[in-house]
Amino acid sequence: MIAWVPVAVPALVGLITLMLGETRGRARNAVNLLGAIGSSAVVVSLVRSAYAGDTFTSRIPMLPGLTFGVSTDLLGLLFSAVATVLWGVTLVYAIGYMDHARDRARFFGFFAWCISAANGVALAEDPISLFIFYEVLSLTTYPLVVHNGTPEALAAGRKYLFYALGGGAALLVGVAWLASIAGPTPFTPGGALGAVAGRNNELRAIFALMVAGFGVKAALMPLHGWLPGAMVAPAPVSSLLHAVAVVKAGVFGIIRLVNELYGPELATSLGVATPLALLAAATILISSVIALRQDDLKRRLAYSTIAQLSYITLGTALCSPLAAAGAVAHLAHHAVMKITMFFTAGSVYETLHVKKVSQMPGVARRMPLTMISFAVAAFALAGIPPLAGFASKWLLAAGAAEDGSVWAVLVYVTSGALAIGYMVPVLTSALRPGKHAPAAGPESDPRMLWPIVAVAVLTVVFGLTAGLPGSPTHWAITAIAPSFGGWTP
Amino acid sequence: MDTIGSLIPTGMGALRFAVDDIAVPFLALFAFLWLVSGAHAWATTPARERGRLFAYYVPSAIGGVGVAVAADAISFYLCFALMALPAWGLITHTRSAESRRAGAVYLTLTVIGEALLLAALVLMATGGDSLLLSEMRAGAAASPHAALIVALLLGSISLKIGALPFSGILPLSYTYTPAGAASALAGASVKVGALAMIRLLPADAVGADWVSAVMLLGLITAFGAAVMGVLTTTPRAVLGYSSASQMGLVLIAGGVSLGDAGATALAHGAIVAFALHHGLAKSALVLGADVAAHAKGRERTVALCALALPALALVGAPFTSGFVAKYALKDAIHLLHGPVPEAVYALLPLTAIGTAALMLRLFVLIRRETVGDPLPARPPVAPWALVLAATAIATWVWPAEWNRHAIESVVSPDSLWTATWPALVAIAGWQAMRLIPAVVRRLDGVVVPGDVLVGLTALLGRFDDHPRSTQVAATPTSARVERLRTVLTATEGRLLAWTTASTILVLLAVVLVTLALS
Amino acid sequence: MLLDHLPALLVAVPLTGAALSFVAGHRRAPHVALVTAAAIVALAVALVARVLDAGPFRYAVGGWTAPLGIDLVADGASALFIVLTAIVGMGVTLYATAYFRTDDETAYGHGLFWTLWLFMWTSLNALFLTGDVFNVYVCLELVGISAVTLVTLSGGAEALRAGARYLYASMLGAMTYLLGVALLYASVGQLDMTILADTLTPDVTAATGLALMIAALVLKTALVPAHFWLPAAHGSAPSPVSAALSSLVVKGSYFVILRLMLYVIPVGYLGGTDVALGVLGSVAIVWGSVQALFQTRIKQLVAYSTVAQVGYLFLVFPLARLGADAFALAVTGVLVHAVSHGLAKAGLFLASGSLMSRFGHDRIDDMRGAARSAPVLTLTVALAGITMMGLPPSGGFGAKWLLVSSALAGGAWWWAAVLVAGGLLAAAYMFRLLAVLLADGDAVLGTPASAPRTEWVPLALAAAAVVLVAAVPLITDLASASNILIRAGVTP
Repeated sequence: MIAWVPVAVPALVGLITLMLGETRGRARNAVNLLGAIGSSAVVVSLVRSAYAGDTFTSRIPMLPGLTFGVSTDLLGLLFSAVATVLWGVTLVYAIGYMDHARDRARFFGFFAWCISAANGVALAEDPISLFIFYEVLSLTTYPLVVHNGTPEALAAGRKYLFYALGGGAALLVGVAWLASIAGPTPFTPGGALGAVAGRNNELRAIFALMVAGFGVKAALMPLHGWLPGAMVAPAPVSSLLHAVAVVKAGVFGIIRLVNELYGPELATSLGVATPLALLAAATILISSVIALRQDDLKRRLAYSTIAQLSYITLGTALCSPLAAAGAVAHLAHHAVMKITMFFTAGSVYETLHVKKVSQMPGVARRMPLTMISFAVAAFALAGIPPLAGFASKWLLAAGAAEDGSVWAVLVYVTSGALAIGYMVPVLTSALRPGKHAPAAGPESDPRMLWPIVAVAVLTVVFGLTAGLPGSPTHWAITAIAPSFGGWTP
Repeated sequence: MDTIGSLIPTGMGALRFAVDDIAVPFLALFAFLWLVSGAHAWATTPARERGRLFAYYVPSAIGGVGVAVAADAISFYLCFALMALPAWGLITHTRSAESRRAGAVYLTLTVIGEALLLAALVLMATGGDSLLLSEMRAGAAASPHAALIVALLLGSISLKIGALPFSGILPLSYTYTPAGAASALAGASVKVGALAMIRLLPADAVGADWVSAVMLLGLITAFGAAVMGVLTTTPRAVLGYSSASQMGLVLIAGGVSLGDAGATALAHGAIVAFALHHGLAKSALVLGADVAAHAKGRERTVALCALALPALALVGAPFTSGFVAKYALKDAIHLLHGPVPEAVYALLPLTAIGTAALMLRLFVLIRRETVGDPLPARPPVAPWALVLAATAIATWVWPAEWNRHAIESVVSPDSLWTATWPALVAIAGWQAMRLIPAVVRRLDGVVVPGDVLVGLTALLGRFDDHPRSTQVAATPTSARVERLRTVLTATEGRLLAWTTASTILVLLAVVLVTLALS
Repeated sequence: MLLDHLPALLVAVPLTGAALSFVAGHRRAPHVALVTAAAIVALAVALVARVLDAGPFRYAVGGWTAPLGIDLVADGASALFIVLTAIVGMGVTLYATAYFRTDDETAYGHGLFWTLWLFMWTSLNALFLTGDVFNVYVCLELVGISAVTLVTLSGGAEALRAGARYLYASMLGAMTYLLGVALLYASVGQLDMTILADTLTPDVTAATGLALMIAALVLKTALVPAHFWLPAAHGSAPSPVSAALSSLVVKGSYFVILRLMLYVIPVGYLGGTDVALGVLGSVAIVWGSVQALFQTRIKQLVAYSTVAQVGYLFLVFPLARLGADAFALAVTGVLVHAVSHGLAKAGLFLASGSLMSRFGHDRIDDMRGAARSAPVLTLTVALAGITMMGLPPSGGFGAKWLLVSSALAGGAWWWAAVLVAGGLLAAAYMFRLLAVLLADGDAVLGTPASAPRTEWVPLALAAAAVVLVAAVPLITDLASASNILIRAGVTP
């Protein structure tokens, strides 16, 4: 039953938060923070067990012949740990950010539920359980997207749902189809479809349906339309949506699909991996170019997210062990980098009401620590060593090169250059002298400032320790190795 | 340290630095120049701006020195990036519009160069199954992507050293930069391109046509940059183009190094020689020009005279460092056979004419230049003096193979003549130009620093930090949806009418009975 | 042994309650109703246990067996519908105790609600238990009359118009059904379903009779295009009545179709009727959803949602013809759907009623900001919506999964496409409502004294629908214990 804890604790926290109501703020904060700390501790202990080779599995019978189950394997735990730990960090930030906001019970309640669902996606042991959590994630995110209740937010929410539920429908058909021909198929490193390997056309169609389903949250072009609009949500939500839970659920689904449902071998021999890789490559380049032209900081970050997510998709679709490991590592690395940036965007907006890149002159002098954190994350994102983004990008590119996919190497390095292109103007604009005078007191609410610094430090630490035991990179390599027949680098 | 694979960097422990044979001259050069230039910059920068300048200078210097001893792909790329990216802050230090534009172009090209370098490093690492530069270089020759690797490396190096058509990047980088920082960029930063040639370009990996093409590109750069430099109007821009021209010569050596192993060894010697010679001489020119521009009267005359030493060195006059470097280069080229190497060998002395013209132009411009903003203190003489001293002796006393031939032949009249006549030709030509003042006036300033690259800013402007906001227009479909809604609602209204309902039931019964009986 | 008489008790207890509530007067009637409801819940649970334990059984009322006497048949399917009715009925009763108390006591028909409601419950239980086609007619009439009266309970002009329409549909349906029974009896001479199932031979008169019966039942189930009475009736009735009508009454007539089509009538006996019903079901899903999307009043939206959800119930007929696997999956799926829709729709109607009484109007667009002042009701709408859309982990998802699996197992992907599209359309209209509730706004809401208690009832019902997927194994067992699957010889 321990395997359910990462899912159950946030769910419970969400329930209690909603029941506490709007007025009991202290109790709400206490419950949320305790929940986050508690489930982080459990996740950490699960990770230690998983490293030692102990995974826990728990299932509940559900539909005829089907079970609903979670399993604490290393791969799932990576995503779970990212979601749970960053939940705690985001909570501190959100408590500061939402200090004077309304509807906080709703906000924190659904926030916790989102994390619960993301953990479910991470730990689901088969496609059906994953699908269920995936849909729950779509639903629990909606109230957060429309949180402001403005017509703009409602329109964004409508768009989000249109995409998310459409994708969910495709996924449902894919999952049901697979179940009807293959029965239960728990994720197995290297592939779980040995029994139906001959039915190529059906398997291709199912793959396409599932990619369409996961592709929505993974913002794979042309399914990315919801993401930039969803930026109207409060900053902690954007952080959650774009860095931690929601979009990562999509790419994580693709990782599971390629590595542990079809298996790299089958995915390659069916010829489905290459089109996926090409789609991801196109997404990387197109969205990076679009990002160059966004003046709204959050929109710029959104397009950057689209590109970075496709890093992961591309790495997975290359079906080369090193690239697959890089993809998994990038999942964690991108989470800390992008959450830093969204935190910054939110903090700058809350403190100075600056939303656009062109309004940023003076911000660096006014909020130095915040902007230094942003710079760290920006350079990490662009793949400058020794920061986190470089470590995963190196693995991705080296994997692509090992695989002989030189074009993918070029895509990675090109998008790294483009990332500098869309990140540096933010910094240069902030560095210009502007109307914001240096702050006399603290540069912003400390509950917003220190989480930013914390995640920026994580960005550095992940980069510096890359490859050492316990680092996301090492973790990713260990988790992905069984999918390639016990490959060792 | 737990290592989990030959291609996976394991934390900071994976960063390997080594002071090997290649590293020593570059380490000495870079450390010396970054320190000395830093001293100049410190003294000439107003106190309240020092923080801003050195926030960029220090990381750049760390990267710039570290790159010399970086022994694996990650540390090399790290140092390369650490050196190149903060240099943007040096270039844009004055915050003028031109400097920002120059910074944008510099950053764009640098980033592209880094992307190319990273791609090359990745391919080399997987080819050699190692992260160590020495093994990667060996592996690259065996890689199936050898040609691509060489192309990527050459692209990256060309952007760094300002080979045509990217020559403009160097004058852009120096023109608006404070003198101390410009000295570091010109003397040290650009030489990383030379280092990359030795560390990375694999020998014997590509065919002889590659060797010829690269040598030609180097030669064209050497001439072309000189021509453009003469047509600009500021000393710093002239120095920038002069760097590009000189680095063209280095690129010729780089081309030679692509050939077989024997040529490679000589070519590497030539590259080291050029790096030391040009790094020190160019730094001395940049610092000296600053000193001279702020000096008056007799001091100014002395300063101009002292400036002649590095200027003559660039021309390759006897007893200067340039003499040693050119000798090393000639030896390397001489080893190759074929029409292109022979042509390059023959044309090589002519490049000195261009350099000489550039130096003449430099002196004209320095004398013409009026002192700009008063500095907090006169530029210090000591750093410049140190560099001058180093320029004078370094290449001669460096214990290596590449200067032996030059030392042996320095007293031979033949070699002295070879080293002198281009300068004389240039002076003669210069005098001849005075006969056609109208043409000269028209040509003055035809080239702006950055030449074709400035056009890039128009493109970059679209992606600057003031982009047009992209607003989503109101959905035009609402009217259509409204029409559809009206139609559907009306239809439903008709369906709900009593008479329709009764008819429907009858029809339903009829249909079901018909189906049942069919 | 009392438990041997479970089927009879399930009819007798609510009937007694109806009579008692009539004589108890409007003050004590709610208590009578609550006690009765509690008793029915206990009996229904006992029936489920009994059926799971011992399988289907027949119960001869008064000891007379068919064809002479009245046989009650309790199988897995009837037990499931009875327990659904019991749970929803309990919720409606609880809600109604507060709902009708707050109304003006002199209001027309106020005291009649309890009697009529318990009487309708009696008729429904009888309908689910009856084993012959004529008694079905009787039960349908009783359900119809009590339902029509309940619709007109508020006495407003709109309610009366809706009631008249409903009465017309009810009478028309009943007459058509009776005509069909007459033709069937003339041909076969039998009315008991089991005997009919065993003896039915190809015959024009019998087939015509059965077809007319189906047509009548389709009208009573409000399958598009015969849904003309439903939006008005369900939309204008008092909220507890709307809930009962939408979640239970349409299931009554549907239950009969299910038994006739899959139990009584042999495969192919009625030609392409099963496919025709499936097609109409698909049309209903689309048409009902689109109309729901266009409604401006909350209960109309919910009523059209019923029109759409009824469509799913008819997809079982073509699916059941796609082979043994598809048959079992489809029947189980449609049973899950009936239960989950019953729970969710009752919750949704009750929540709409509370929203209406708190806002004092029923215009959706003027309900902005309800999430802030009425979070429980908003959550109810959201949870009910999840079931309507068939999203996990709701019962609606379980149903959709089973039906989609059935279609795929039978190789008929187009039905799966209908199911998936239906879910998306449901999302469209449910989120239209939810978006308004979540929008920024400061609606000033009245807070009736009884609000908290009544608001937890719909929440509980909707929540039950959302976690229903956990009860799918139970429903699967009940499906296996239904005569339909036993006769077909398949298990899910």
